[in-house]
Amino acid sequence: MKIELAHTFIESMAASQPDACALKMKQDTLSYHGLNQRSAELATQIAQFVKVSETCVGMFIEKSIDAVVSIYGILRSDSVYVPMDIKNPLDRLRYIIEQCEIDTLITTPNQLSKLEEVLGERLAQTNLIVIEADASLTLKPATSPLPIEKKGFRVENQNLATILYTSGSTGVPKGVMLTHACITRFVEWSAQYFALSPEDNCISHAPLHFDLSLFDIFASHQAGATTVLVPDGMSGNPRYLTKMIEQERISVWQSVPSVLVLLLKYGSIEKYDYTHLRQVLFAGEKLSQSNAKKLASYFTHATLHNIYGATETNNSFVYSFPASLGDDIPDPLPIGKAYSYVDYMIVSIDGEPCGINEEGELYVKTPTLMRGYRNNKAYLYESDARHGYFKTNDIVKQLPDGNVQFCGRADDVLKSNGYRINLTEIDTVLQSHDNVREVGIFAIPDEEIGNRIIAYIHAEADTLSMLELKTYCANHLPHYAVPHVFEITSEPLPKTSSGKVNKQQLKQLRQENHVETT
Amino acid sequence: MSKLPDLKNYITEEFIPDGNNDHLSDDLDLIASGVIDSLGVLKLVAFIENTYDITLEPEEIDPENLKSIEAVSKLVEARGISLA
Repeated sequence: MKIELAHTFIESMAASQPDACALKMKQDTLSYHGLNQRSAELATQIAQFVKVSETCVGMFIEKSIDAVVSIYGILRSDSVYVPMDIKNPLDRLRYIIEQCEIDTLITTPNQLSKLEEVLGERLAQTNLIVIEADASLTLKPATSPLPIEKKGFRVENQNLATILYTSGSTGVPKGVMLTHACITRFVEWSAQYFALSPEDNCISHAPLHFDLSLFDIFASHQAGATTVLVPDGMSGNPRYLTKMIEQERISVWQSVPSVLVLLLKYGSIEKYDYTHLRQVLFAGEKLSQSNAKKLASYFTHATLHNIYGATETNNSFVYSFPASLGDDIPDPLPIGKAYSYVDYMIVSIDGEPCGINEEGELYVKTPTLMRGYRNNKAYLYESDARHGYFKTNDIVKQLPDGNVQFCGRADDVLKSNGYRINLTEIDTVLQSHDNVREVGIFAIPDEEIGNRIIAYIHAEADTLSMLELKTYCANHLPHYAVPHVFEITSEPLPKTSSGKVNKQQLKQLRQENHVETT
Repeated sequence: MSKLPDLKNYITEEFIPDGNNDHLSDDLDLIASGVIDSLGVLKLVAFIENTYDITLEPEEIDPENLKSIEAVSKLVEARGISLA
């Protein structure tokens, strides 16, 4: 049987529309022919270093045309692409390199010195492929490569395409392993549902280590469309983005909702023309109905899509509505109906199926479910995972009209600025600071970014400053997980009867002392 | 009158409001050190535009131009506004 792989369409697309633009960033473009050619060249070079199936190849590279070429090059060498956030703290980058047993990395000249710092002693056993400014490749083979029998490869039954890292509960990131089958099923359905065509200009706003990028790259290219990349430094710049939608004639937009809220608030959104914009996808957190209405009033030619999914399952629900719905946009926005290939159950706390309007936890069964977490089989032993249902930890309810509505989380995971954040992870990092005695961490809802993270710290008087704590967090956590506010106190924090820090009481204390200004 | 202290005071009050800015040097990378996040950058832009009465072009709102007190000073002085 012929296995459909995530990248197989590239060759046929290059044959059928060689000169069509596949990728654009600022003034630079790459045609489908060029993408095919360059990714094949890169694959040939990677293949020299990769001897065993399912080898992870790291991408230490800024968002760029070269980065997308790398994704295809790695896949075409039958390897697994592991995109890394170059802004992550060193510890986190090293963790990913070690956990994925990466000994081949793709990078660019301007990232080389940082990468060498990350690798440290590992550099000698690592092969580097440097993509130069003129797109030529410089190889720096390992000076003392690992003997092949020391590489602990596990050959498993489905071809792995990528590992995307997301925040974990124990203070270390979790690598979500996605197979070619996960990606192709999702991409085919998406390209059809959103009616993507070679005429489309699809924005790629999310970083490439973020699951939203699977749509931006693969769904767009499978349809022969152009993917327009937002440079790393500009993804949080609303005025740049609104102007870009007009200038680049963006027809398909996808981002987290908080970016759309920034466009409304800081993007000079009234200045530009959005008549080309026909699909607006947002995923990853809640968008309020009032903001949805405002967006609809500017994006008048678009259909808006509220999408629900996790990195582990990929997208599994969507609620689509035309901008013309206006005042009839429901409040709150439901997450809608399951994708055609998705099965789900809503289960009460007693383990019984929920009725209409009854809140329960969502379990999802989908062919796009991850194979598992890298080097962590824990999730497979959850009772329902055995029947193929993924426990989402999200509380939802079935509405009488057939739509599903998101109600909240069942654990300490939340979204801020569209990023998944685990409060336990932040807690663990703060506890590790020498001058910190106790930590109480919680989130308060925020209209702009979803959640604001507040950390109460008990420390001896005058031993800590906010600047020091922020810097400490920035050195040990991804930038989006640094708490927004620190309250440092020399008093012990309030406790529950079981002796744990009483977060509810801290929330009340915070409310009494502060009126949030957002 | 020098307008540089305004900038430093704003950053202290908005992002590290314990008032302890002894280590807030002009060349401290405010983004890498976790003092300001992406939304903080936008708040900083609004402050700069209001305080110095300028409008930044979309291309100028680049973290490189806004990552430290020094960088912001250069950006503002390039508009002919003296902060010294």
